[in-house]
Amino acid sequence: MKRTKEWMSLSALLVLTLLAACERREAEPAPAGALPEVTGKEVTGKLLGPQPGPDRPIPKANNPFPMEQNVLTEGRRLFVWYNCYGCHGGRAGGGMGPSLRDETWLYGGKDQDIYNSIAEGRPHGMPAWGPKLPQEQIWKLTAYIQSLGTPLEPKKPPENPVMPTTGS
Amino acid sequence: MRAMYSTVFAAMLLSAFASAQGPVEFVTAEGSEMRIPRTDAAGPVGKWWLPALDSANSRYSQLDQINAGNVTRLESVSNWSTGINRGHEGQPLVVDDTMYVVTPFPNFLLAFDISKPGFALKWKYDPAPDPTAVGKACCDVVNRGASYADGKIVYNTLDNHVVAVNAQTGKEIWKTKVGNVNEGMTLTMAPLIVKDKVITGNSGAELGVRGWVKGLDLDTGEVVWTAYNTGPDEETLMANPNFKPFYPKDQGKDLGVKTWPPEQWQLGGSTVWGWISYDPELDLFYYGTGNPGVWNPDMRPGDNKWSISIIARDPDTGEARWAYQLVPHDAWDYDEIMENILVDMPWNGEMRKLLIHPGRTGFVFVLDRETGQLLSAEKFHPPTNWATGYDLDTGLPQIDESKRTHMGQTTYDICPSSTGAKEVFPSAVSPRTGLLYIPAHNFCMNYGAIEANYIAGTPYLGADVLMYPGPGENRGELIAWDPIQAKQVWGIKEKYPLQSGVLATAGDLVFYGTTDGWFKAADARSGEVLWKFKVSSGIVSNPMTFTGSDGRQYVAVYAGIGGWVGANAFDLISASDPTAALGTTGAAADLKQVTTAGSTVYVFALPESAAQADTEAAAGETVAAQAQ
Amino acid sequence: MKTLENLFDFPFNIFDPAGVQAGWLANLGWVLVVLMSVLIIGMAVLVVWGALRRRGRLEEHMPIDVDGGKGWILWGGVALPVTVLTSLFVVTVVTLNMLPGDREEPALAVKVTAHQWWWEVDYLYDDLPQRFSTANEIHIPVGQPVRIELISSDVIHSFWIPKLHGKIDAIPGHTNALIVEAEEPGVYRGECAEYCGVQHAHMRFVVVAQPPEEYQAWAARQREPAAPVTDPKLVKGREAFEGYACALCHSIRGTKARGQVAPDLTHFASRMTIGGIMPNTRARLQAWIVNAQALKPGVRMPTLEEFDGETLNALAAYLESLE
Repeated sequence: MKRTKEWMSLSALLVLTLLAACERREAEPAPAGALPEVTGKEVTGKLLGPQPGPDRPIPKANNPFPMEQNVLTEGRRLFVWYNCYGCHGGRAGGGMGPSLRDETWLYGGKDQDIYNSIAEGRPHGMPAWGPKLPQEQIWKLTAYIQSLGTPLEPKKPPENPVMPTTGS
Repeated sequence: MRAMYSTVFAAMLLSAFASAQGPVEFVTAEGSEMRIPRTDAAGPVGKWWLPALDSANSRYSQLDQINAGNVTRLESVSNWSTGINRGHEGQPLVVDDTMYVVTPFPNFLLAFDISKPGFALKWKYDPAPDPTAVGKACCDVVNRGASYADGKIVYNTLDNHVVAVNAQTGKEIWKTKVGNVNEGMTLTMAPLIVKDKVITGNSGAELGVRGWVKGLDLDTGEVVWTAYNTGPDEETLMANPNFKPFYPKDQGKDLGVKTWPPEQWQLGGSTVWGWISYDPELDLFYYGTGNPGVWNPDMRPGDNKWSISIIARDPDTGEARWAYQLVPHDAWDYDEIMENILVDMPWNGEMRKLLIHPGRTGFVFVLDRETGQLLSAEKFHPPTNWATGYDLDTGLPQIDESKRTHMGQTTYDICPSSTGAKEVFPSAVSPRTGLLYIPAHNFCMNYGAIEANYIAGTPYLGADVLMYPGPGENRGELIAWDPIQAKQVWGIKEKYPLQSGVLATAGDLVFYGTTDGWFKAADARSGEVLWKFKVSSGIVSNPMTFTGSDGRQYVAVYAGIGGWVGANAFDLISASDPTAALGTTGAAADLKQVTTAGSTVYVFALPESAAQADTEAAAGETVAAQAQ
Repeated sequence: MKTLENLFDFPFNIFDPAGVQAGWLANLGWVLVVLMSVLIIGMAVLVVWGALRRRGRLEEHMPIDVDGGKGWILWGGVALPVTVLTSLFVVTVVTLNMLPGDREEPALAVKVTAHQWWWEVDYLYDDLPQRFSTANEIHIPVGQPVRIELISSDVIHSFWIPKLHGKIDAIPGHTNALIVEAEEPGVYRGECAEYCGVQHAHMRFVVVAQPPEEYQAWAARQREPAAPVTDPKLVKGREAFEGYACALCHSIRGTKARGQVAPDLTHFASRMTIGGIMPNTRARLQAWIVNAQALKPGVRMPTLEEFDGETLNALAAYLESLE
């Protein structure tokens, strides 16, 4: 009898927590949806990808997170935490994978493009992180990548001993 | 001009090992007592069948048509673009009238007919590797070459296949998958054919891969044995009673487990991405192992066996005979996968079977290759400061603990850097001088060990490394080293890091290339650069030489910058992040200013008239010698 | 009705020590409290006495005796403070000198790494394969000195088990060491005592002091990799753990999950708490998996929305099976 009660109250707690989570999600701006009417994860991978032709009129979502110090340092932490730095360089200057701090974007440089590259993966070794990482973390990584080479960049690289004061 | 064959004496017949590999001959020369064991497996004089010419890894060719007297007339006779603008490591093979070139990923095998002018392409074999492998290779998508035996060209593809291709037709004979690219494993090294086995090893210690060597059947491609470099003795094939490491520190049961925290050995690196040597008399093959898994040393307390070790094994069974760990509990990523050069030399008055290992750690190690005893370990790279020397009684390095890296700290001014006092690019020896020619480079580093995370198929580092040029104006130096006296005889300083192999010839020349794209020939005795030629891209390959069907001696080299250090020339790496490319950008970003990606196979020879004259003169001399 | 003893029985009471080191600190504390109390009471009495002794207006006492009371100043203002402070200094130095513990080899060494906002605990056995790792829970044998090596992976934290030891800072890149020796079995609360970020207040841990044989049994169990599962539901749970975000950060030895930046969950079910903050029960676990941010806002564990009910159920069941 007592046990049942305990279970009931705990289940209620769980349900409430889940509900709270759902509400929270609805309150957020639609993050991943490139097409206005579609939101959620299923978009990435099906409808999006590198788009041919100039200026395809596909609306691209902006990062729901602002370029603020706490978001960027969190993005930097995730960049190290998920081993991105191993391929893309200690400060994202490249290595096994391409530099993310130069002018070149192989798959687009808008927030949504970067998000998609992380979420869907790219040929030649970039894993698809979308099925594993929460969207919020991918957006924070996106913010960090956008900050590279700007005054906002957290943990800036030191000067290069053999090629000082060059750009990218 | 003395005919080369007169310098080759003593052909010893050792019937016990003669069956598959042919009798053991010793290549010797006037000038030193060094002798190089060589069998028919190296091919006839003037051909090049194995990655380092012979299984002793000598890279010493008996050809002497091109010599110190005429090298200034050397000219380019052919150059071919492979079409793949990535790091061209390794070297071509020459069998009969065909030259074989393995390209970087996608690992084409190109066969050129050297009897045709300009070396016409005969065929191209495409193994169609999985492109995922590109993103799993730590240090560019290189390939270090192929081996030839029994009508087959055998090589590794980046996506973990060993392939055997019919040397005549270019048709695939077998293709064996030996690893999973999604776990971060790749193959970059050149397999060595030993008797009826293909010995191959894996890469990927930067991704938490567990290192191994495998023996494959040359006829079928079937994996006959697998010997891991970490884990229990049953899997490292060290459980046999004949496994007798020389030093007490290397003796004991299951050291591949007991010197690691629980299960860390499964991610323990210790891969085999360098060179394999084989001694036909002792019937043992030798290789060095790479760094222990995860660069952050505090995450793997213990000696971390058998990382950074030299291991001797039986090629038929893979069973270990001895092992010697050069650096216990590495804290600097000093992979010791370097070439082990097998020569016999007098040591304290007694002829001994030596194994010479010019190390990434900045030391030249000389071991007795029968027992694994360390005979000498001396610094060839003066700035080396992680250790002051080696204790020959215990086999342990005398480490400067202030240079040991730890989690949460940056340790400054460690020399050499993780790329080593020399990289994987192999040295050569010459019995004419008794010297070892080491392509050295000169970087130091600041190494911060940070928290690491293992996610299968992604880098497993835990280090924030910044490399920078070491003391002095030169980032590279070709060092001629006397292995007996353990001292430098001469050096050629290079401004840019030296990342090419060395070729020594009986013409008393050493050939090497620079990362800014100069192919050079130097006098093997004085170190004077006699000839140089500007090629299309930085050189990270190993020069080789052969005799063509027209009787001329040719020298071939690839021009195609790349590899760990060389990749800094590529656009995909930004100079503004000196910690990029695993820390090398801080020491090599300016390669962008002196070279760009390339993909050319260069072949050089003397002008036909000169070669003719030279051959006739030599022939005349032989006739004269016979007449006497 | 609370007895006097119960009144003192709260987890952060430094005057109710359960360990040798905390005992010394408690003694020092008592000395200070008693001595200071005596002094304060003495001072108060003197002030009152002085106030009572000279009543009336200022003019009545003119001229003031300027030379009077020098003895008070010399004895009460110089000699007494010098004596008291010197003896306190000696007592404190003697106690602090004892704190690093007896120089004998401790029975056990444990490395505690402070992270935002949890404690990683690595058992440092000399025989490396004997080592294992837990989180937010330190088990020690009663009656044996245990050396704790303390370090931080990010910012400065402070390691504090009030009933066993005083506070010691955990500093990135620098190892501090302390020795604790519990005298009675029990579960002792620990806290981070240096502000270290948003979840500082929830950066808790427990120390479980057990009789040595019980401790050995626990350690032997912890050393084992996770037992293989056969029940389809548990298999589904394990696969979910390996296949979704979990394995990117957590490890379960014996499975493919080898993440190393979050607590090792090999024997999660044997732990008393989730996230150091709440009892380890099934319902709370499911809530934690789905929305840890609601329970410990700012925690590195992200909100995970990818699980359907069945998968979540299987995942939680699997984790609860990791005894």
